[in-house]
Amino acid sequence: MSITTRRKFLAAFAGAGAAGLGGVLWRRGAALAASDRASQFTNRLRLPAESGLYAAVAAKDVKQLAASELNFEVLPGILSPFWAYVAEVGGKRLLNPTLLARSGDSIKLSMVNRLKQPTIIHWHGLTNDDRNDGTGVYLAATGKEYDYAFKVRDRAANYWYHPHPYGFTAEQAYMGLAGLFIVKDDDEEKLARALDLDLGVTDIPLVIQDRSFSFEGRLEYRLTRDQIFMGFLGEEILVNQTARPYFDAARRVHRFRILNGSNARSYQLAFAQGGRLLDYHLIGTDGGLLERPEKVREAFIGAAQRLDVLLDLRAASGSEPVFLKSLAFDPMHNESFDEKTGKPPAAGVVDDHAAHAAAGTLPDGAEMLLLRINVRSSPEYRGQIPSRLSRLPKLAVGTGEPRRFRLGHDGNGNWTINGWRFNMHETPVTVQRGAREIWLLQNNRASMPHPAHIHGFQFRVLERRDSPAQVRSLATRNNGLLPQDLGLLDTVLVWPGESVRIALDFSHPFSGDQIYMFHCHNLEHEDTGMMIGYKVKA
Amino acid sequence: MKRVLLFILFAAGAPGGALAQQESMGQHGMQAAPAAGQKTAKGTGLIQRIDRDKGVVTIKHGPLPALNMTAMTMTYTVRDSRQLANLKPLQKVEFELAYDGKDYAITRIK
Repeated sequence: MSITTRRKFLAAFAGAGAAGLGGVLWRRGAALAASDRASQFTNRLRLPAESGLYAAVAAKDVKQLAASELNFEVLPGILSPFWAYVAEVGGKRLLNPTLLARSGDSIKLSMVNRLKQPTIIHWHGLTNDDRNDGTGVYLAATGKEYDYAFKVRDRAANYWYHPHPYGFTAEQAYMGLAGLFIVKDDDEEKLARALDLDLGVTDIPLVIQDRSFSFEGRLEYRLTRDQIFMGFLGEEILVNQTARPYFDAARRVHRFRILNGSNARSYQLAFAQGGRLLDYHLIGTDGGLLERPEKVREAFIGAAQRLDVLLDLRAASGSEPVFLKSLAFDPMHNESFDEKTGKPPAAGVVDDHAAHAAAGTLPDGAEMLLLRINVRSSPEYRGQIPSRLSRLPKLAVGTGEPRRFRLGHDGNGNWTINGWRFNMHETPVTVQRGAREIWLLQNNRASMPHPAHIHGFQFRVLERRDSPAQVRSLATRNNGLLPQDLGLLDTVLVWPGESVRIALDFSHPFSGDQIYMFHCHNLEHEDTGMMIGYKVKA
Repeated sequence: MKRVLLFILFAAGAPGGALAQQESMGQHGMQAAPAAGQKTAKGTGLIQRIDRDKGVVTIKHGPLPALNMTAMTMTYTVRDSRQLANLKPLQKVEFELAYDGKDYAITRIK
């Protein structure tokens, strides 16, 4: 990008010349915040209960989900506007219920739109025909219903459901509309027995989302010019809609099913006690269990991704609390870098990396505490993490040339895929049902990280190339793969300058042409057009 | 130098303004002092951080027209630090802020 273009671009999206300074000041502020916040985690973590938020219920027992505008105490004692999927089951009222299913279950339910704008539910990660997949192609207007009927065909995993109306997704998800869809199978149950895990007690879903509040404590979604381009960054990190949460845990193995439900923010997750990072085991990804646990100390998670982990608190010493935290990392807002050289802008030219990092009280990539875990004394626990977890489907790799997708921006503030922006009436890519293809996702150097999400099919990562050092250093395989690349994925985080090769098998049981979406799951990117439809030709 | 830079930051309307102000006030006092003499304003805000050892609280608060202050996030000394005892982060509070021509301090908060 020329300097002229870059300046035009920055003038439109990054604010005026002091932005770099803002970044410096914000970073200092964040460092101060991290050091004194540890004692300020005073709200009990919300967990799935019998009713209310995230209550666990068999998916096949839910006949209706009403997308509703409510008042809800996100912060204790302060009613705030909050949008949720409301279900009535067995006389109980559930908000964003945690839906439980087994592979083979038939789901039949109606979504009622009680919002003041159109909406649709997308069943994120599940294999569905396009009508049941749920995208902006199929919308329910205000007051209307949309009926879903599908069979759960996928492996046991932590899927989720959220809005997908083009142009409205970011606000609707931000205001609260999202829930987990947990599929179980025999491997899952074997693991639960081996480790004596109990959902909501020692098997804990953690939905991480960043949010901002007005000075009156009400949820607030107001995008700055920067954030329209880079995605929303909130001032507080909520876990299960709990701000500054704590969780009392026994000294034993806990399972955390972690969803990054943030609109745009990525995290580098670690468990820390004092200055010491604890080992933990990655056992699953978007599409279910890995074949064997991968011991890690830190792992990136992009928006919409899931990490399923085991933490053995017997490794914690004394009674000092353990924190789930995000380690500091370079958020790589490299939009104004030189595409050919990969170098930052010349001196005297505004560096929008700093500008973007300055866009919230918690800069992207800042070190931050997420959840305080108080380690309580408990009866002796003898559970041992099994060495084998599950068997992944055989890797089916196509032999042809890869299909290339370039992620970038057009210099005028629009994120694109191969230069395309979303058009509801176009499907620039067609694949043949049953075909095996390799897709090469190449992120420009002059870019930012993009969590690339493909509807309709889980995929496998074959290779990462030209990864930034902070990613490459976490690779555990020769082909640059990270531990979280070893499982099935529906979303992969692609860093600036990086190329990721993935294997897709377009086999499915649905007759007729199907149209699915491929998009960036930074929801502000998605809503502003970083999405394409692709056709699976029958 | 820092004041000059902060002026640039505010003039640019950069979204980082609130915290920049917070650091500036916490360390160097206000930029533009009102006329001498005690002035007070009542406000509503959301507590961001509490430092009981230092007797200060950081509040995201609404506009305080009586002190010619816009909505911002700021760290203030609490004159009677015992008032911090029952406060929690992210609690909504009513407070009274006094300015004596030199320093700002919270005289009442609950």
